[in-house]
Amino acid sequence: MQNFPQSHHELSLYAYIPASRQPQVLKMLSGVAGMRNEAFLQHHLLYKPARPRVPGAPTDHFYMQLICRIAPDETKETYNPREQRWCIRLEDIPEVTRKPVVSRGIYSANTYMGDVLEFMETLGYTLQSSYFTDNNRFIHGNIVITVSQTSTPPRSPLAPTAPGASAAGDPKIDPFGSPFPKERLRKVDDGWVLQAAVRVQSSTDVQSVNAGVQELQNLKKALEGVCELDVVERLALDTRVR
Amino acid sequence: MSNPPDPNPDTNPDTNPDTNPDTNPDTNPPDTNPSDPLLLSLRHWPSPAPEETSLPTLVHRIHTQRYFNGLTEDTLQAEINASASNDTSDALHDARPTTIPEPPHMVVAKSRMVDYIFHAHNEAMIALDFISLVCSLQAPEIATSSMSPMLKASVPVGCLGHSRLVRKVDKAEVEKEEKIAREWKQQGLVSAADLLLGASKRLGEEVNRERRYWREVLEIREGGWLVTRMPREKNGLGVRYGFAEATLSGIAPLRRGEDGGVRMEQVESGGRMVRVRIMRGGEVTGESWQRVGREGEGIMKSVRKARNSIYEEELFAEVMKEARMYAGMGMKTREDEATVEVGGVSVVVDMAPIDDPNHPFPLMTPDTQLANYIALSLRILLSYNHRLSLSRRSRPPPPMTPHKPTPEPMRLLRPITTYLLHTSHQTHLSTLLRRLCLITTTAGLSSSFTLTPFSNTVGRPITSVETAIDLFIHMLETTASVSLPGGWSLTITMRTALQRPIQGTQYVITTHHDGVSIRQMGEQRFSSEEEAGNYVWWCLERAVVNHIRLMGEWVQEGLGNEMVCKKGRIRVEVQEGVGLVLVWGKQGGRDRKEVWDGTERGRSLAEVLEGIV
Repeated sequence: MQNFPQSHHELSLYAYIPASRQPQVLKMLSGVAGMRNEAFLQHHLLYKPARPRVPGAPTDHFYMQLICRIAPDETKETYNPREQRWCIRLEDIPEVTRKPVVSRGIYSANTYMGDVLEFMETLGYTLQSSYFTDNNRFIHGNIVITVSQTSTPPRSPLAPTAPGASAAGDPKIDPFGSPFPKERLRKVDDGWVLQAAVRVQSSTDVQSVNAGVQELQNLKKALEGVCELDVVERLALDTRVR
Repeated sequence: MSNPPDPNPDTNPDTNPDTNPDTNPDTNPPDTNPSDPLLLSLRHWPSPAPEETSLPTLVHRIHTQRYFNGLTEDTLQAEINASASNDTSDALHDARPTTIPEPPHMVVAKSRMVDYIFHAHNEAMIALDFISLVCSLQAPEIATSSMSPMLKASVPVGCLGHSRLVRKVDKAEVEKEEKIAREWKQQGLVSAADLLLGASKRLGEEVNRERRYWREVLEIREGGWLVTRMPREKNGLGVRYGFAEATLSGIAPLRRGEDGGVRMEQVESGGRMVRVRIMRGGEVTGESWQRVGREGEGIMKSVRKARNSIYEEELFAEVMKEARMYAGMGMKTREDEATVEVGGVSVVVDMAPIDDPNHPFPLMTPDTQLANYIALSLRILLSYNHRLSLSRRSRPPPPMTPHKPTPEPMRLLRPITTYLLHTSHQTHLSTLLRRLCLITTTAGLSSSFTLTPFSNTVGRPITSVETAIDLFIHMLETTASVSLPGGWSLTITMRTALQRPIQGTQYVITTHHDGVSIRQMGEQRFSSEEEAGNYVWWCLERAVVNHIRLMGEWVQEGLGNEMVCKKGRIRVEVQEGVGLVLVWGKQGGRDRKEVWDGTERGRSLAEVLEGIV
């Protein structure tokens, strides 16, 4: 895992925001953070190890994610997943802690050029599913607040055929999914999820971790009437492959 | 044997034969009767039970005995004394509390009062009987319940009839009574009406005051100011006149004044503005104006004043902070001023009170203009820095580490310093080149130059405010191209930047020539104006040598500045303070020289060369 240069430890709290309240919550967050929201669309590709896990093996297999930002001026024709700048991200299972935050390690690597999708294949991972998220981001001190909503492309396969030859030859099944046309994206749920996250360089750095936890608690207090920031059940964020 | 004090006034005759002579006349003291058993208790005297002496119990007993009314220490003391004296005389045979004998007139009055009451009661009962008998015709059940049994027995129910009697009415009386009634009613109505009118007037005034307050608050908000809740007060409105990225938060409460108008309080408007002074040689040669623009009136005036003042205070604080940190770049600080010294000019920044608007504007001199421009650019730069900090804040922060990164001070004085440094070098360069051209012209040679000041800022498209300012604050560049005699040309690029790698001014001079009279080609870099100047003079020297060479006769000796031909030897020199010097002579003879320093047009170089024999 030393090979992931952008790795860090993440402390976070979550809140659920129903669709009707979302504009109001965005306005209040804008007031709290003192800045306009940054809205962007992200494409997520979920990869799982191609070889199934030998039961009884000591190591776990984890899902890996590829995330890229879709530029606002992209269109159906210009959008090509293979040409995007992906970020490889592995989210560890949250650790058991008494602290009132979700604490987990994030292994992340930004890529610069080349076909990352091909690279994932050579790593021994295969595409599991693809989805899109609509994000609004605010920054408050050390906390990054993201309000996001997930949607799936209209013909997203859950059990994909092997991407590569058959996908190229069969235009009907595009395993990566396309975000266009935007109207055909299906929302998974009408509501939005708010994540308030603090990044800490190392999880052993007690001072920074405590400072981060304190900042999150202060934010929770400040947003008391707006939304309810809380810890999420640890196993709900489990990214191990079973 | 005296009796011990008896806590219980209800004496029990069985236990205290001495105190009750009525029941036992022939009593013997117990201790003298040998047949009676010994009535001596060996137990200690019982202490009063806690319930008996607890405060609530005592209070209750006092209240029932004599009430607390009129109870003072003195009366109690008098009573104790009185009862003590009473006790000593009556202790043995009268333990019952003595009753105060009633005075005789009271007894009589009492009996009379009782008589009267009896009488009245009797009359009332008779009247009740009569009325109920009368009523029994119409409402037998109710009437019979209020009749006395004696009447019921003697007379049957409903036997008394009645009819209405119309009495003669006294018109005057009736009128008077009606008038009185009307007057009262009218008075009542008038007073009620007055009360209501008064209340409604007050309410109306209150409503007006509130309306005015809220209208003015709305005006403030429509003016673009942010009206929010006061952080420390419940139900308090405040206007945020400070800047979001500023270090000092500016929020002032808006209170309702006497007449409903909005009043802003707690604003320390110092009435000071940032002032820039230019000093040369210790004398102030230029000063910026401390004028404010239009402020509006009323509450908007206070808000604008507050905003202006907080802007100036912040600007000054940031300038001082920056000057302290970058003391190495020609910046100095004293307690309440910051100074930038570049090229003989001192720019002093401090705070000064706002000018009286009725004062006429001072004379406009170049230095006053410079001071005004510097003050204006400082203010623009503060807003620019605010934007930079907003964009920095809007980027996700790096993961937290134990050491906190120190924030860099704002770029306020550094761009000013860069500009001043650059202009001083620019002035020097243009003076140098002009002199060069003058020298060569007087020597009959041709040369020219073009100077493009601030070439990196000219001609670029402006896409946003930030990019527009960005061009000016990091590095300034001036280019010049000089064409020298003999077909040579120089390109001088002068860059000034305070940060690495340049850290000052850098001259990059590239020469273009035919390469014959000098091997060294390409570009040279210098970091001071003297070095660059010396190089330029040197280039001129070699250019003149080349020019002479091209004239045909003379041949350069080696790569130096001496030339030979059959006529003799010459040496071409360019000396800084002097000019172009041509020295010639013959062996054994005396050197002759001709100097062109640009002042007068004497013989040209060609003529001199011709004249050499």
